[in-house]
Amino acid sequence: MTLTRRQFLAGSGALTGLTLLGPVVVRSGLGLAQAAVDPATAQRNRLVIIVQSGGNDGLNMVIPTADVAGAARYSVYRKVRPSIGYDPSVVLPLGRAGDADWSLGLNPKLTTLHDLYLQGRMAVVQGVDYPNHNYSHFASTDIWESGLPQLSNDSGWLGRHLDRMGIGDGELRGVGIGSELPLLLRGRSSQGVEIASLPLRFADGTDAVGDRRHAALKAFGQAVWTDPLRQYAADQAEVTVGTVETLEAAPAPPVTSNSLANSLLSARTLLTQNLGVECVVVYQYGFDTHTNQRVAQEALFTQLDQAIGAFLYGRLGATDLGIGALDATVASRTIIMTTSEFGRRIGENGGASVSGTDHGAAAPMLMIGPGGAGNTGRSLVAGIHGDHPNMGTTLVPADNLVMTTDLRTVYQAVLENWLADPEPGYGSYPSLAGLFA
Amino acid sequence: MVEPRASRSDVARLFGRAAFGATAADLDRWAGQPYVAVVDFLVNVPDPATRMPAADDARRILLETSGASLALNQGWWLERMRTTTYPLEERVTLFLHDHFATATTGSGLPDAGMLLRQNQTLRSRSLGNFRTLAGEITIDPAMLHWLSGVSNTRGRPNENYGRELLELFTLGTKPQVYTETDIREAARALTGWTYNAVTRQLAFNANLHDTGSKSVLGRTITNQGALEYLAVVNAALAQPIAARWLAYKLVLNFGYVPDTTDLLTAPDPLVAAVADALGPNWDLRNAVRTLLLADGFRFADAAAGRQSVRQPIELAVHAAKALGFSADNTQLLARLGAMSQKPFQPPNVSGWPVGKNWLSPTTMIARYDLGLTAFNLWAGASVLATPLPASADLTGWTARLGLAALSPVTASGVNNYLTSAPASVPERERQTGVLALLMSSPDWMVM
Repeated sequence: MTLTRRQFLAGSGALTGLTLLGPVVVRSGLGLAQAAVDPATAQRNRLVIIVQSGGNDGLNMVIPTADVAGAARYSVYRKVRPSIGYDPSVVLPLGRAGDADWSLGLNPKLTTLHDLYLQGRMAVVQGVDYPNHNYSHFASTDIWESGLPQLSNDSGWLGRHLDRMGIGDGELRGVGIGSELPLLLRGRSSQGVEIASLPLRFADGTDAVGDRRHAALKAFGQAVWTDPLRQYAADQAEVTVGTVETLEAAPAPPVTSNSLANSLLSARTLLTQNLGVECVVVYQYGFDTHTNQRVAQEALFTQLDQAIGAFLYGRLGATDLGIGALDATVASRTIIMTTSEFGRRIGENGGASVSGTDHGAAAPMLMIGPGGAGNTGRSLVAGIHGDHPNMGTTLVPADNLVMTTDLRTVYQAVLENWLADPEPGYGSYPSLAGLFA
Repeated sequence: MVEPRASRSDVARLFGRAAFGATAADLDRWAGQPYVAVVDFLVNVPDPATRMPAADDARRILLETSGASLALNQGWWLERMRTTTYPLEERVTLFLHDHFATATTGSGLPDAGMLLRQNQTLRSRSLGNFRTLAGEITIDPAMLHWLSGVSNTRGRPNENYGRELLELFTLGTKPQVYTETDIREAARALTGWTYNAVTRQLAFNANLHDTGSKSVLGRTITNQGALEYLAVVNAALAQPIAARWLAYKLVLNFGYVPDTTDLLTAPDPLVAAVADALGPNWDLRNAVRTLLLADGFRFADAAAGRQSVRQPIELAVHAAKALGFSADNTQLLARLGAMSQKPFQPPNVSGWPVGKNWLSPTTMIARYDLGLTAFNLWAGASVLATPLPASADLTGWTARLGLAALSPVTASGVNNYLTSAPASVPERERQTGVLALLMSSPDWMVM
């Protein structure tokens, strides 16, 4: 089905009467993964990242419910958020038998996540950020995705991980679901693949009509171009056809009314097909809640909570999607984590029910694991990690939260303990203590 | 010595980047003419305030106020791009929409009509004074809703617009010359502007305006009431980096990705020249003319990556123009959705991706599918539609698609497709395949 290089060469001399710009030079291909089961993959741990784009307000996700010794958390929270704050009676307490009293609760819309917490499958990492916080969506997103607290970053922390694992361009080990490949999945010598959804197909199908054309499209990338941008476009054409060849036969996941669930259901199929996929990145948009935060964020949390339920259990709210729970072996080797470019300002900005919050800094991350060891022999430790950031006093509330956990220590822990990265690259930032055991 | 006459590839590139692509007639008309004459043809747009309205302006005014669906408004603009006498005006308007990115979901506020009114504001200044436009956008109803201006009130400042005004619309971050305090103070100065979506009245509510003294970028703003928004815009645009930031965005959108990390100390030479051309009147026409005339644009080093990855809207409109079908149709809009670039729906306040970020398997599939759709739309357009070239007539296809030449790889690929197809494959199926391949080729996407 695929045009061979020999056929390609044989055909290239047949043109007449056309102005051409130079000779066709053929080069070695990109080494695309084909639709075979990768025997190593079945054993490999996997990571799903949900990027909460816009700046997720952490204080209304993991909510203070009381003051604790030496820290007036709840009374400050109540004072600075008179309209959008949550009463302790409605939040979902983060405490299990034998736990210390954290005096924290989850947003009431996160019932599935709360249940996972009680099962010992969810970790909350408090106060995560990087030094010299940047309040720009775009600069801060770059820093979070690169894992390098400096501007003009050229690669993502997962992209560099894929580089170190020796991944070739177009190989399906790091996949984004969406339209634009995130910085997260861009390496220095390789990059991940961005797809819209599964199954992946061209509109003219996979019969002889389409295949003949797609072979020609793929061949654009099997030649040498003189201009690097055209070469990149041609390479992407080749990667695209290779990816379609790999994924066109994948089962179509159910399509729901929840766009994040749809992305996660495509992720789930990718992970369970054992095609080599190790890292999947999905986006959830809309967290830039400058106004009307309660309504907007609760809708997003419902979407998140139900999407994770769909991924793990095959249920969207009360609806059985007919796909069952995530395969037990895959589930035992998969961690889901959330990130966002920043938390939001401690104080609300309006003093009314339609209030929101402006851009802020440190915020908690959520991580959901299997509740046991993956293939590295390490397991995610459920519970609360890191210290809660200082919120100031009721007389002088803090303006923004200051980080207590450097994001690099979380990335280092994941790379070292979960993704078996031989050289995680954050030497001076040791893995966050206690996150894995 | 610089060749004063425009070659076919000059014309193809100029129209491709600045006019939603060339037609075969454009290539024939302008190749061999002085290059400066081609640029001036594009740039010399009569003032929209005084020229005769175009036939489609009446429909626009109706759409603005009729509560029509978002899709109708999007279709109106796409078809305007295809049919306008002044394609550069629409192309700069698209640039400005990307720059002052404002989005609607089609329901709620801002609504589609407000976006279309903003669109006309952008168009009216597209080759005019950027400073005037920046002021108008600051109190534009769609923007007031999009970036929370209507919630920005005395004692309860909302920083949403103030931040993006400085970070994205005027100063950039190469390097960042403003502080968090400047953002907070700017937000205070911008308090009090409201827009009533029912009566469609913009209003300055003095009771909601913070009358205290503010300090923005070293300028003190006191007791200027409804004029303080202009004081904020002027304070921002007085910064030396402001012109270079806008020039950087212009070069990025029309030319290539400048490898500039510090616009103050080491700007790309073309960026510096375009910034100078803005001058004290923030003259967009002169800036764009300078950009298009510059050797740094015309002879940009493609081997060094100094090319433009055309945006999906440009590709879709060019397809409609070259083949001769209306760009106002739902199939084209659906393909643009799959490529993540529908008008009035940028992904966030920083606008659409640029360059390589447009090239992923997701968008590549959609681009290829756009070629299939384009054939169907051509076939359905009219029995009088100009026939397409025969499938094997690559010279004919090259001209029809407004290209000067095909690169050998693309030509070989298309030829290989044709020779791989058995003789039984019908001509229309072959033509469809040729079109889809050409419209997902590097020649078409990158120029």
